[in-house]
Parts: sequence; C-alpha cells; structure tokens
Amino acid sequence: MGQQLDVPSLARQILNEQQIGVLASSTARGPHLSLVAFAALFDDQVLYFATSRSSRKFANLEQDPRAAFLVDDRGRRVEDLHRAVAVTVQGSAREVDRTSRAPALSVYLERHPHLIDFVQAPSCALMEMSMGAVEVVQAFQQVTRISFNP
Amino acid sequence: MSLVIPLRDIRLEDRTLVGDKSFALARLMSQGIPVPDGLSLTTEAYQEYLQSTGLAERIQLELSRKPFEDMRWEELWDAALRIRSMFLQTMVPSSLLNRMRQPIEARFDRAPVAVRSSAPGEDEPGASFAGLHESFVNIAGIEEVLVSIKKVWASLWSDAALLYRKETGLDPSISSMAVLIQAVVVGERSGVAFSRSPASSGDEAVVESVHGLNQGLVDGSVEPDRWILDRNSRSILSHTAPQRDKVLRPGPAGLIMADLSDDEAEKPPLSPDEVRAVLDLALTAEADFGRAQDIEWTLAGSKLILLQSRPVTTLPESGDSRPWYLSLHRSLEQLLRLRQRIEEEHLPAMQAEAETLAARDPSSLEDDDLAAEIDHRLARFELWKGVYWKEFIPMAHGVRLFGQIYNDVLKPADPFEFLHLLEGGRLLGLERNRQLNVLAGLIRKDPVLRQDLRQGLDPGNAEFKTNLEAFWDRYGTLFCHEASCTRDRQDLVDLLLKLADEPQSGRPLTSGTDVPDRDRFLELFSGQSRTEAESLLDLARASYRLRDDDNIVLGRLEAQLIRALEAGRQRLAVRTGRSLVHLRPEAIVQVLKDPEAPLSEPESGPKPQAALELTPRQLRGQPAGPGLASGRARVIGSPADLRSFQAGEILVCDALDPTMTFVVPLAAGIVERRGGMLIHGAIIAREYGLPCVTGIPQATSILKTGDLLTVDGYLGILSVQRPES
Repeated sequence: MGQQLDVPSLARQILNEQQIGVLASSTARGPHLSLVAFAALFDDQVLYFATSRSSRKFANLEQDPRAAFLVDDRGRRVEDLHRAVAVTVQGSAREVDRTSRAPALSVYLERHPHLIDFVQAPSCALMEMSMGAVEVVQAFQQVTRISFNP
Repeated sequence: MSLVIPLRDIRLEDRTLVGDKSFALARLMSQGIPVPDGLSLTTEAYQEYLQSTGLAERIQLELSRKPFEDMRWEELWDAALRIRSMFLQTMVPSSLLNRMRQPIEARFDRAPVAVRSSAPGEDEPGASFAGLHESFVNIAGIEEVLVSIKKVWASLWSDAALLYRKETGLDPSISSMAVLIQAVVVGERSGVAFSRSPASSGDEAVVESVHGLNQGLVDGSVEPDRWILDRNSRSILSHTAPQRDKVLRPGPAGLIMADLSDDEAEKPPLSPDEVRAVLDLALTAEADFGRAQDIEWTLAGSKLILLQSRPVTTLPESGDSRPWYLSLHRSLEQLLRLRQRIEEEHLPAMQAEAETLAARDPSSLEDDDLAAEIDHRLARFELWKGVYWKEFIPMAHGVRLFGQIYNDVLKPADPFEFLHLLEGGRLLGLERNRQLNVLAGLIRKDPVLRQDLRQGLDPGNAEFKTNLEAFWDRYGTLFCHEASCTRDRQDLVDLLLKLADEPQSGRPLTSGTDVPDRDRFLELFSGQSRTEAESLLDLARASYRLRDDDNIVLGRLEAQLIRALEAGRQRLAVRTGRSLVHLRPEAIVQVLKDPEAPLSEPESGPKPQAALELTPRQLRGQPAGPGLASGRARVIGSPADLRSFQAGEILVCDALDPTMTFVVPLAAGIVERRGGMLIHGAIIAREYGLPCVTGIPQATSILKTGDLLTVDGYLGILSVQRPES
C-alpha cells in the first residue's frame, strides 16, 4: 500500500509509524551509529530524540552537529529487500533550547510516554535534528531525495 | 469488552478476566452461600490502563536494568517502590476512567467498600500469592476507590510479589490483575478457617477468630483464638486463647486499631456452636471445589458471611521463602517492638561481646586454646549474622513503610524524596568523618604542623596530638582487612594530609538537625494520625540510621574473628616458613589442633583476572544518589587500596563497607556492585551529595583504576572511557 502514496507522504508515514531509528554522528576516527527512540514532525522538518549527556553521541554532536538518521520498516523477512522502505534524514542536531523545550517535550512524550523518567532527568538532553533533506529508498533501489532547502 | 462484571454474572469462561478470588466467590454465591455482593473490575481495565499510558513499557524498563534473576532483594524493593509511584502518578485516561467510574458509582455510590486484589493464577497449586497483593477495606467515595484500585494494581509489582515470582521462576511480564469491589460487611467477629489443617496430615481442621474485622488477624497484628477440630465428628479437640487486647474496627476512612473492652477481652469471640458453624462453612466450600479450602469469614449479628475462599496450599516443606518475604512487611507496632529489641538488646549485646573478645589477646593462647577461640568466634559471628538477617534487615522496612506513606500523601515526582527526612541522623561512620575533619582542619590552619607531618616528624602541635591520640584510641587503624591490619599510624596521617589539601572536604551536606520538610510533612496530619505520623517518622529515622550502625557493630565482631584468624595464620606461617594469607579458617583450626594435619592451601588464591577483551563503555545500574560527576576510577579491591585514594576520584567498590567511609569526603562519586537505595554506599553518597550508581555487576573487575568515569546518578548510568594504552 506504501507504493500508492506519493514519496513525501510515504516518508511521513514511515516516520510516524516507527519508534526507533539509527542516528549517525561523527568522530575524528569515523562515523558512530546509535539506535535511538525518536519522534518526527515531517511537516515541521524536525526530529526529536533524547540522550544522556555523558553519551558518546552527545559528545560527537557537540563537536560536529552534522547528523544522519535512518528509519525503516524492515520485518526480518526475505521480502524486505523489495518491500522495505528506508527514510534517511540528513541535517544537524543540537540540544533543544529552553524556550522550545515544552512543545518539543510533549511531542516526544506523546510518542514515548514510557520514557518520561529518562527524558526528564537533569542529565538527559532532549535533542532536535532539523531536516535539511530526506532520502526515501523503496523497491530495492529506487531513491528519491526531498530537499527542504534547495 | 468486559470492563466491569457483577459478581453474580461471572461465568466459567470469565475466570482469567476476574481473577481467582472473584471467581471463587461468584461460584459460592451461585450455590446460595452468603457472600458480600460486588463487582469485578476485570484485567481488561488493568491492561488498557497499562497500554494506553505507556506504563507497561516503563515497568519493563525499570525491571530490565539487569536480568531479573540477578537482582538483589534490595534492588527489587527499590524497583517496587518506583513502580508503585508510577501507578500513583499516572492518571487513568478519561475515556477509561468514565467507563470504570459509572458502574462503580451506580452500584455503591458513597457506601463503604472493600477493594481487593484478584489476580488470575494467584491461587495455583504450588504457587500461592496469598498475602502478597494488597487489599483495602472501608473505602468510601469514587475518588478514594479509584486511588485504591491503582494501589491494588500496583501491588502486582510489590517487592514481596516480585521476590516471590523471582523465587518461583514466574515471568512478571505476563501477570495481570483484576480488582474485586465489594460492599463492606462490618462483622463484630471475624476470622479464618482451614477445612483441613495445613500443619497436620490427619483429619484436623482449624478455626481462628478475633473480635472486630479480620485484617488484623491476616496481617498478624492481632493474635486470634484458635480451635483445632475433628473434621468428621465436628468435635473441638483443643482451644488456644491469646492475650486479647486489640481490635481492628472501621474508622472514618480505612481501619483503626483500638483497645478491646474488658468485657470482650474476657471471652473468646466464638461459642463452641459458632466454631462448628464456621467449620461447616469451610466444609461446604471444600465440597463445592473438591479441595480443602482456606476461608475468611465474618459474623454480622448472627449471620455468618463468607469473605474469601481459596485452596489450602501445601507448600514445599523447605526452600519456600514466602514467609520470609512476608516477614519483611511489618506493621508499625511490630517494627516498634523490633526497634526496641535491636536498640536495647541486640546492639548492646553485640557491643559488649566485641569488647569482651577484644580484651582477650588470641596471640597469647596455646595452640589448642587458640583453635577453640577461633571456633568460638566463628560461631558467635555466624550467630550474630543470623540475627542480622532475621531482625536487622526486616527493621529496614521501617524506612519503606514511611516512604510508602510519604509517597501516598505527597505524591512526589522523585519516589525517594522521603529519604531527605531521614538523613542527617547520627551515623557512626559520619561521626568518625567529622572527627577526621577536625584533625584535617588543624593541619589546614598550621603550616608548621603540615610540614612536620609531611617529614614524618613528631608534631609539635599539642592540640593535634591529643586529638589524634583520642581518635586512634576510639577507632584504631582505618586500614584493616582480612590479610592484615596496619598498625602504622602513617596511613592515618597520610589520609589527614590529603583531607587537609581539600578545602571542602569532610563536610556532609546535612548537618544532623531536622530538615525543614519535616514540618511540612507532619502538617498534613492531624489528631491521632499526626501522632502516628510522628511515631512513624521517628521509627523510620531509627531504621535508616540502624542500616549503618548494625553494619559497623557486626564489623567489629568480624574484626575480632579476623584478629584470631590472623594470630593462627601468622603462627603457622612462622612455623612452616610459608605465606598462608589464603588459608581458610577451618584449615587453620585443624592444623592448630593437629600439627600433623596436611597443610593444603586452596588452589584459588586471588582469582586471576580473566584477560577479557570486552571493554565496558556504558553500564546501567540503579540511580542511588542524584548528580553528575566525572573523574578517574579508583577501584577498591582490598581496603589497602584506600590508601592510594586521591581527591576527585570516583570510588568503585564491591560493597562500600561502613569502615571505608573515611575516604568518601575525597570522592567525586560512588559506584558500587550491590544495588539499592538503602545500602550503605547510597546512604553515605546522599549524605555527602555525591552522585552514586549502584548495582553494577562485577564493578570491581570490569572497571579499572584510572578509567575516566562519568557517574550519572539521576539515571543510574555509568559512562566509561578507558585511556588508550
């Protein structure tokens, strides 16, 4: 049914359906990948996630805010090869500032109510990743790029 | 969807929806046995609440900090407290709330009800949860009923229930809870009965009864009259009468304990005919279920009413620890008696014994006498360790009892906020640190003294010398462990020099006076309950303080055992010319008694650390002291490592012994293998305002001195950065 949607709608759907994605940050020695729970607002071109301030990804992003984020709908099936859709968000990530924390937090907690203790701990940072572009991969090899800042 | 089912409409297929208790009552009701009418709030309500609020996953996150079977009981206590607080803080979503509220209000309005747990599978043969889940009696008004429902739901995750599941290998994640809401029947006399005695294999039945309601009998705070009967002839074989003095009756809300009138105290609650009537009720229930039954009943006027019926569980003869878990939950009255025993009997006796042992020098004894002395000290230490488990650990429940009431009344965001009211009492370990700080302060003020001490000269400062003498007399060496006790004061002087270099050190956050929240807490109560709250707070403070003191006093007894062992070990080492550091106590005794006995050292000395290539980067434990700190790890493998402790380091240890507390003023954070909020390390960390993470398995073997650690005491996370070699 995903095939019937236009590409932005498909990207929006995948981002809304999934709970967890893969964040790529970079270190001097190379890329660093982390599995994180996220909440995305495709139409606002923003994606939120939370991390402990002592984590490596937090340190990496403080050094270099450029990041990529992969979300997909794999199901551990052979058919994933042709059926799975992958959405890669490219952009930059930083800690949500105080003024926009409350709305960001409510978006995040609506998706992940069980993470309330984690995200409200003083040692936890709520991060926002602004979407510069989104690439959607479907049908094994078909890739479409959605640019927000052409 | 069947959110609410009236008791009389429960069908066979509803059993897993309504739970065992409601199911059994519905069945007996259908047989014409008088049962208080009620409603079952089914497991569907519980599941919908858990799923729609995200609580299901929060509970799993809380319990998945480490494998369930590896959690210590103290960690389960803490997890249970956090989970209960989650339930209290998480609102029932309005759509669900309306569907729950409407039928309950329609049926009971403001009439007082009992809100009882009824978990599916709780009365399975071989696994009885009897007593492990909560019930609340005499609750009036829908808001109060809804709060009680949440508490019953939460009791599925009570520490006792979690411990029991851990013991029996039941998976807590597949458990569920239904709630039975029943009209309260205020009986004048109540009790329990076993249609077949669980204690004997013969044809005996048991009836127990108290004046008033039977919650006091069930939780052990009111002693019942007890009759043994012959099941077949219905004749009474024996009657045991207790000292009748207390009675539990409905108060304005909940229940209150009162004194029995002299008249009631005089006579047994039941006449012989009434005892037989209760037996008949139990036998009727047994006939219906085809198995021996354990019933609860009450007599309202002359009407005998059945409150509950479940199979008599024949528990395995040994190995079932449910009684011990249940014993951890004690009433205020029981805890007050326990406190008295600990403070007036056990601690003074332990102190006296430690002093008696200290006065006897083992190294001057002949071989046979020394062997006997070691045996004696081993036996005494084991005996006191037994008392520690049986009395001191249940005493810690005072802290939790207080915490539960604090959380119920104030619903704080941090379920451990109540600890602030308990801190700052007179901890022995802190008292010693205060005196260390006085000594360090003298060094800070006197550069000549500092110079003298650095150069190993006899200090000219008389005040310092007097204080040091007094400290030494009182506490002796700080660096004592099984292999040896350093008699050299230089260790103490070195520690004092380090402390003197730290302007901030040695000052616990709390000053030992009342924290301001005390009044705020007590203001929430008035009249009789105010007195009770004060008494509970006082008890909880004692209980908190005793968690530290008991360890220290037990440590003193252990030190005397070690002293005797060391005397034996040294004697044998001189004779054999071998180092016998790891010779076990039994071997020492054996060789002392019989010089011909083979002297075999255990093959395992200090276990060689496995050359694992795994490098920890981030470890999850329990948040035990809020705050965030980074520093180099100082891993304490043996007390001797404490000597190298540098200011600003993170103290990493297996179990922070109260005898190790003196380096805490130098530490930036604490990491401990044992988990829990009430272990000594966590208590001390909170006193000093240090971030603390506990419950890191194998902390001392996977972390290395020099690792750069970030201790996240809010989340219970430890980040590790190992210097590249």
